[in-house]
Amino acid sequence: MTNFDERNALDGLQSMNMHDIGAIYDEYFPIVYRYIRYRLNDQNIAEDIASDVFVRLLQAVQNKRGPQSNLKAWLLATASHVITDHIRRNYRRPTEDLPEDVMDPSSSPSDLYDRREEVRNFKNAFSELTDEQQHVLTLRFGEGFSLEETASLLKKKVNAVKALQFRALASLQRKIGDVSYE
Amino acid sequence: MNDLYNALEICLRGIKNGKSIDSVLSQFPEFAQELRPLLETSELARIAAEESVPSEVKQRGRVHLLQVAKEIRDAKTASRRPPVQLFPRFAIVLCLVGILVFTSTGFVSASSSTLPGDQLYPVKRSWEDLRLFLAFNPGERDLLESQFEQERLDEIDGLLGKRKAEQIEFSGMITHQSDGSWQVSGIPVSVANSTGSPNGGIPNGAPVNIIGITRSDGVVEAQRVQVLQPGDPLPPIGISDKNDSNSGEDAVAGNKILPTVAVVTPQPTSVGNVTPVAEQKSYQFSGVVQAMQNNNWIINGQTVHMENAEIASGIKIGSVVKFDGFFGNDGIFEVIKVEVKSADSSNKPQNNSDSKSSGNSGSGSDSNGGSNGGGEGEDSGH
Repeated sequence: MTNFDERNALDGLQSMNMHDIGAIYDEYFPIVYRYIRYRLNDQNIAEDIASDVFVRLLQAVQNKRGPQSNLKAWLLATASHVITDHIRRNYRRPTEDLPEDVMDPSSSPSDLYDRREEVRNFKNAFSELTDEQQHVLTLRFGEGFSLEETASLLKKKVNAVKALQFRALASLQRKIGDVSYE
Repeated sequence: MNDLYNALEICLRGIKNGKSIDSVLSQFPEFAQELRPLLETSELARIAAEESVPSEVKQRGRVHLLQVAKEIRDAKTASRRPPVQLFPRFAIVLCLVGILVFTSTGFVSASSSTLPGDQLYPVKRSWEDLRLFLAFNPGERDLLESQFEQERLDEIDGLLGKRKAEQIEFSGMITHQSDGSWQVSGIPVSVANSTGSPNGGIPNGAPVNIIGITRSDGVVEAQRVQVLQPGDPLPPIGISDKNDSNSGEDAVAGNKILPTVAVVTPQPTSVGNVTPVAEQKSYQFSGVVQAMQNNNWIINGQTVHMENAEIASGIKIGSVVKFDGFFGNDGIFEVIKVEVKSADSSNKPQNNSDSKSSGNSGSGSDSNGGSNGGGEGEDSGH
């Protein structure tokens, strides 16, 4: 895998250099896509939104409003905004079946069923969290970023992120309990 | 509360490093009851994450993004050229002709080796358009089109060598297909499920037109693949060996272009021993007969086999013909039928081995045994 130089790529982005645009896409698309999939659980919509995020990057650069640094933070923040707009427009919960690779293939059928139900309940409860809570949980658990990296992406202090993730997990845990009893 | 938040974070790190919930909570017995449900929830959050990103999704998005980037860049370039916007391309070409008549030809010469994306590349293409426009004879026009098709192929080879990403279009022959990795006249092409192509697939040996983008890993990413239409010029079968010192001369010759002609005697094969790479599907092309030597002719700079061909009357050197056939295992076109398409061209290239261009990308230069680039004639992938 080639080393990715964000500084050089951002410079190339300003001049619409195809090579640098491709490098940026290759570097960050998996992160952006996984983020969106985690929050929306719909592959088609996730693909559209992921594509939209990168097009917005080009448009922002063209309008001299593009990121000067920390491209990952810009992309994920943009993704979060687009997702929020999408949810507000559609007012619906994710209904897509869970992907097979979420499950442990060595589990028994009853274990698989139980686990699928658990994750389904999780997804439904997750969708009811606030945008900020969804954002922090997606970064910490969907993407696996560290506390410090999450804080950098959210432009918050580490202690603030600790508090935020605590409240997010607590809220999620309560909602899962509510969903389970429905 | 800070202690609680800190304890949660320490427990989360421990779980991420492979410890059990009980194990991490043993460090914080005072918080165990409150943290346990949160840690169990965090496990669900971790399980719900997907690792894989579908490759076709990624490729589709990449192609779309680069198209948008090109449109933005082209629009930006166009907006910076207000005087040029007022003039059609043809007018620019006429101005160039006037300049070239009275001045040195270095300007066009400098553009002759440019690649897509270079500043002078539009000059090169405009010059080609002018030459086609001034080629009133159908045969000469046919030869020029073949020459320019070869040039497109060589440009792509140049782009791939320099790891430049540019939008491209070219024609060639499929010689190999394997899991989305194709070889088309020596150019590696990546064909994804999202690539626009005919239903039912395209067999090896088929002549195709490809629209795509050159990638930094040295591969063309195909956006659309189409089989050439009947009557299209025979596509180049491989990358030419360009002599840089000659390319300038050729570009400014201004005279009728004589592509490099090389008569090739293929390895002897017994009659009936040649089988098409494809499923015996034949294709129709047009071109100018430049040489006729026994069972090998030169049409548009490429050697074609005439061993089993039905030859209509009236064909001679210089005739513009339409011919049907297929690409053999050796990458050389086997003609089944040939007939005159139009009257003689006024361009009568010299015969056989005495014929050499002043340098450039004559496709005949890579017809040596059909072994360059795409002429490997591997068996069909299906």
